[in-house]
Amino acid sequence: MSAARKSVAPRQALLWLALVSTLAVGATGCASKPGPDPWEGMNRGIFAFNETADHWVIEPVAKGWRFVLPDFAMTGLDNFFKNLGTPVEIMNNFLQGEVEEGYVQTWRFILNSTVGVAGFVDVAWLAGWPDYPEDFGLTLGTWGVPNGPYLVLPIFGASTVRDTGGLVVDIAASPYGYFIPLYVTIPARATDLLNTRALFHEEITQSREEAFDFYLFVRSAYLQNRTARLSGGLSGRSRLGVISGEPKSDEDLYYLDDEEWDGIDGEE
Amino acid sequence: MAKSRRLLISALWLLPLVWAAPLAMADSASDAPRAVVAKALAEIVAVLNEKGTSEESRRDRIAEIAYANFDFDTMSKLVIARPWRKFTKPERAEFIAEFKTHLARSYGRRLSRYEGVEVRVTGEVPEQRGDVTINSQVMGGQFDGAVLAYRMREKDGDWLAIDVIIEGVSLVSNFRSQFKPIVAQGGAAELLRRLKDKNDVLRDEIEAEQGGGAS
Repeated sequence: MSAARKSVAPRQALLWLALVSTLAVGATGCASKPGPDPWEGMNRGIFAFNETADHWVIEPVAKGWRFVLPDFAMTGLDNFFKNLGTPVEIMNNFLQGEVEEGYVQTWRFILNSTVGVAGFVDVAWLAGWPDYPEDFGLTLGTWGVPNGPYLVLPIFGASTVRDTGGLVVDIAASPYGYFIPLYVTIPARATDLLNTRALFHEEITQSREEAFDFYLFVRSAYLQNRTARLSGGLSGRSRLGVISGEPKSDEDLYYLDDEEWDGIDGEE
Repeated sequence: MAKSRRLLISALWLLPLVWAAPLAMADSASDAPRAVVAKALAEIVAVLNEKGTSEESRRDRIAEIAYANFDFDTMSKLVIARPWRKFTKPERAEFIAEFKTHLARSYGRRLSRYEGVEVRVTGEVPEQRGDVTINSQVMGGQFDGAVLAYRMREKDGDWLAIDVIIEGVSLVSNFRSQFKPIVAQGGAAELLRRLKDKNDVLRDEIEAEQGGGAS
């Protein structure tokens, strides 16, 4: 067991660290531009790769998946994988000092793993319990670590330098790698990805059609969503509609300087 | 992937609920924006869950509600932001009209996905300069748990929505980031051309979907 401990999960983590550092080194060589996405050229390249991979491999398989599996089976699998990820969420809640939320996730894991038939049924959600899905990227954010540049990862998609570091830690912290071999955990993650892709096939297709620039659409959505989660505006969702926190108002978004507005209304 | 990320993916296409803004002016000034949103949400959900009417007619009714109750002029200005000053009067009018059409076509598709949905108003947050954000959450259906917020602004005594924030993602901000490089490179003319092209594509898609559904 100690041999497995040494080898499996750290190996995954190392793989990711190697990948990320390669990307970071490659990126610093690129011409950078100001703003949240200094590595836009490289990111667009990886984004295009992901889109191609999706078009030729992931989407066709996901379509077959949808054809074979009934909706309730896909939802059940989704719940199952979400439940497997709960221990890492518990860790992150505690690391963020969210003690009560950490206990809620702990009981959620216990309840769903037992009554919820190994997690296939999200009993806690049905019972109206709130959900606090925290990851290590958000934990770092809580500790004051800034986003860093926007980063598109191969297959994993939208991220930032901070959130990529978070992903590495979350994968390393996931307990399964310590006693389940890679030839099980990697296909399991792939299945999770595929199942999610299948669940939202229509939404993804539609958004591609509708976007004026799908890359910018995804970037804007990802960065805004992460900001909202960090500010607590989306935490503690539940079926009973209890949401703590408040959305952040955005001066720059909703009001421009009076000077900038001059002539906008005047001419009408 | 975390569940929240899945919710984001799903909720971004959250639909006609985006239209579920003010239906009517409320009586009392203090709770006006909240009452307006709550009433409109109830109305829109009723249309979504209606049995026996065609998707086309439901979509038209939802669009009608939206047209009457969103402040498209302000939304358009906020989406374009600074370059709006350089838009000529006809360009502005054209943009507002095409943007309205774009939102109606993109958010009115595949209404069947939203069956069994309810939306509950969960709170309100006073913002700067008199704006109010109304928070709500989807209950049931495919998007169970998704968080929607409406940015409300008073205009000539009416509370109108100027933005919808889905899972923390502002519609205004998202369009602004996509339109900005187009306007910077090709000006208003290029943006209008792209917008019209996109609207044509969406019209064809909707017709194809209806044709497919009917046969």
